[in-house]
Amino acid sequence: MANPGQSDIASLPLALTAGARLPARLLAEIHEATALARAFNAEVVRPLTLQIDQRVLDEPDYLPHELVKAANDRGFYSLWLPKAFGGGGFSALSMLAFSEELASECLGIGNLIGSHYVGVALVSATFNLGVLRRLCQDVVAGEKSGVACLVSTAITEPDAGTDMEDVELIDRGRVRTRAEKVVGGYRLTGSKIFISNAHLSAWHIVTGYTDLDKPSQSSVILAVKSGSAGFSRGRIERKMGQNACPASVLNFEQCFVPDDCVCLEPGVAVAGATHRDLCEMLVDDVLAMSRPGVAIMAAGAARGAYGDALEYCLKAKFGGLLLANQEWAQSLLAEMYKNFKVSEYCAWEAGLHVALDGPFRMLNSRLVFWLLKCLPKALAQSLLGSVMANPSGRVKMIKDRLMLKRDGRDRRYSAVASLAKFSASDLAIENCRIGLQLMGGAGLRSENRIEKILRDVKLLQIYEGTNQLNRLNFFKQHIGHGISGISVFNE
Amino acid sequence: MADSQLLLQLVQDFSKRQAGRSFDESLGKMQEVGFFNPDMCEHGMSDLCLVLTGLAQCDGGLAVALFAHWAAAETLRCAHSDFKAQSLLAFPAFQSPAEFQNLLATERAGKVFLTAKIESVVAAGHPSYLVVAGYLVALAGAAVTLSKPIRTLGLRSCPHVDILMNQAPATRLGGAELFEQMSERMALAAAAIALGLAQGSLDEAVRYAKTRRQGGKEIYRWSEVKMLLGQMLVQLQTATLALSRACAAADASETGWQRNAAAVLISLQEMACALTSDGIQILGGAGYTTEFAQEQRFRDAHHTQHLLGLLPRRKLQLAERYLA
Repeated sequence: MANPGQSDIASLPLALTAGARLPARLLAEIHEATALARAFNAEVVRPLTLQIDQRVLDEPDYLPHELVKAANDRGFYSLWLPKAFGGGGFSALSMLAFSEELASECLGIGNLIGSHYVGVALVSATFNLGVLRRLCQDVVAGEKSGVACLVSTAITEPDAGTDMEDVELIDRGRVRTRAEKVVGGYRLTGSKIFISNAHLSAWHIVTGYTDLDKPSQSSVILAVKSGSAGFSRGRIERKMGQNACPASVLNFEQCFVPDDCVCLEPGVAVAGATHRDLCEMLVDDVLAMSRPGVAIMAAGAARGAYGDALEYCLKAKFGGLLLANQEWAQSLLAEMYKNFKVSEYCAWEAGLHVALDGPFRMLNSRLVFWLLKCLPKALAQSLLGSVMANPSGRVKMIKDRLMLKRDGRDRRYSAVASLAKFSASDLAIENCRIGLQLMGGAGLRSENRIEKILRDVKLLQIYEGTNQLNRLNFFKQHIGHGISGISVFNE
Repeated sequence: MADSQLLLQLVQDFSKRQAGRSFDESLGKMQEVGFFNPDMCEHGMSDLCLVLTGLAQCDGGLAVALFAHWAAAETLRCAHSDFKAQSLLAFPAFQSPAEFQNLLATERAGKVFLTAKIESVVAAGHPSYLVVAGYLVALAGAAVTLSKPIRTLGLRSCPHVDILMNQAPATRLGGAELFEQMSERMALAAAAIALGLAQGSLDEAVRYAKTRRQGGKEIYRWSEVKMLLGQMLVQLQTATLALSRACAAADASETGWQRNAAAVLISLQEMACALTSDGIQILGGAGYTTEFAQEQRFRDAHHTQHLLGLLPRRKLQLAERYLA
């Protein structure tokens, strides 16, 4: 192999070419999203974040309804939903800027809003516009009524965590959630664990399997509404951090899900792609969309830790000299700033890959972006109605997605998303470590936020696939791909 | 040697029986066993470290409560004080005197009075006296106010309080050198706590890796997990040997043992932070929940890295000593 790792055009940072491809108006939208997050931080998050964290430690079943409501009142649950479905029509890229700002203040609230959009992304990636429209309409209605309608994603099971993150592993796992086909829909039986926002959400996007021995070929994705017969919420997990975003158990006992809430089921075969192929693309796409989000939250948290450490060093003296005037501390502060910036660059690079090369890249083309911005909501809804009336629309979208697989673009954005996720979350931990060392005893006190940041950040190395799994995914998608005799998960 | 084995047995038996006991109950049992007796400090460092490592494997909070008392007692010993504590001693275990802001000592009529706010003082078992910056202060009386226990990153079972002194009568034990003298031996004790936390984390990770299945087999059979466990084991074994050697050197009063002890402490504290983080990774999401003790060990390791004061300060101090 000649000079492995050398750059070719395809592996150069996408940011180099993105400028020419991105709509000019997007930058203004990014600024707008940043300003919204900063105002929210100042008015709501900053006064509440430590209070909620400590309250959950005292009362582990406490749910942060005031935070959920405040975000709902500001329209944050629909701002990134398609305009044609009543949402604000913001681009996924501007959500990166928004998430970084929130995470710089509180990772829990960042994840609370972010994981709502993961549920939406999962449905979007099935290209089932009917279910997506229904969800979006409920979210928008929830904002109008003042009763928040969030969406959770329920995939992880008691005996299958990492196994759920890659189709190559799932058949070897012990999945237990059965989806039985019945007249008019499915009956769902099983349990899901560690489900972010499960206690706060009105809709839950759940994976089940018609054949538990062959889950990769029999996956069913269902939208389950809270309150359905057979649906119940179990215990709230006692977590070390991210306490503003509760994670819990969901139980399904012969829970009936009607056909119009089925997002994806076996039997859809397009252009030679099997159901397993579709599920593999779906898992890869959803993770490729969510991992840059984790990376940018890591960058935000790394920034928060840096800010706290700097503030401390500007007022604390050691040996009679201000810490910020001591070279060793200056060097560590510079290192912290570097960690934050490198994480931020990685996250944006990954976000650009998904936005410009991913399944919804058309939304970021200059013409479509401009049209969607200018079109009144009513007209957008009417246009979409005609698209949805045409049954070949979904098939066309799936064929388009298959093209990304054929030309290898999906491998690239999956690889870069994993790279960003494990790099940024490791650097965020490193920033907490340095920050705690700089702040000494002061950093150990809960009233000084950095100890909370450390507890919160640790989860970033775990969810959306552990960093160990993400390294293997990076190897699989980028390093090892196409090399004869090399495989992953087969030792 | 026989004494050491008896001590080890005692700690192991004690640790096994702690499940279900409250912190105060465990503290009471530790007093019954004699861990808080002033003559414990007369033991060799190897024995003291054995006790602290064993306790930290079970509960970092208990280990630090004992450490703080011993550090205060060692300060009294270094000062040749004849004060005999009837209860546990409070001690600011996470700050060196150089880090105290605005500690003011005044003398009137041959008596010393302290005015200061000392933060995050370890105050387990309702202490009557505080040892701070070369002074002994009675905690009873109007001149001293103890806050309610404060919230901290780790060691949540072990009470930390802020102590406000306003012209509090104090007994002077010695100067700034007293803290450094105390730290020489107690560095090894603090290192023993880091070692215990790391040992507990590795044990739990191994137990979990042997039972948790993913990808169709126990996770320890995946070489990436095995490599991570191997890395943890290398760190732990190296740390164990380093501490053991440093204790032996201290007990034999070998030349330069103090510098070795200071270096071993920093190394083990940083190692425990890294190892307990990996200890959570092995368990994945489960390790992040309080269902397992991994998250507690991770917090405790990051908390105890500041035993005996700011870690970077100690690195600088070590370099200064080496360069001198």
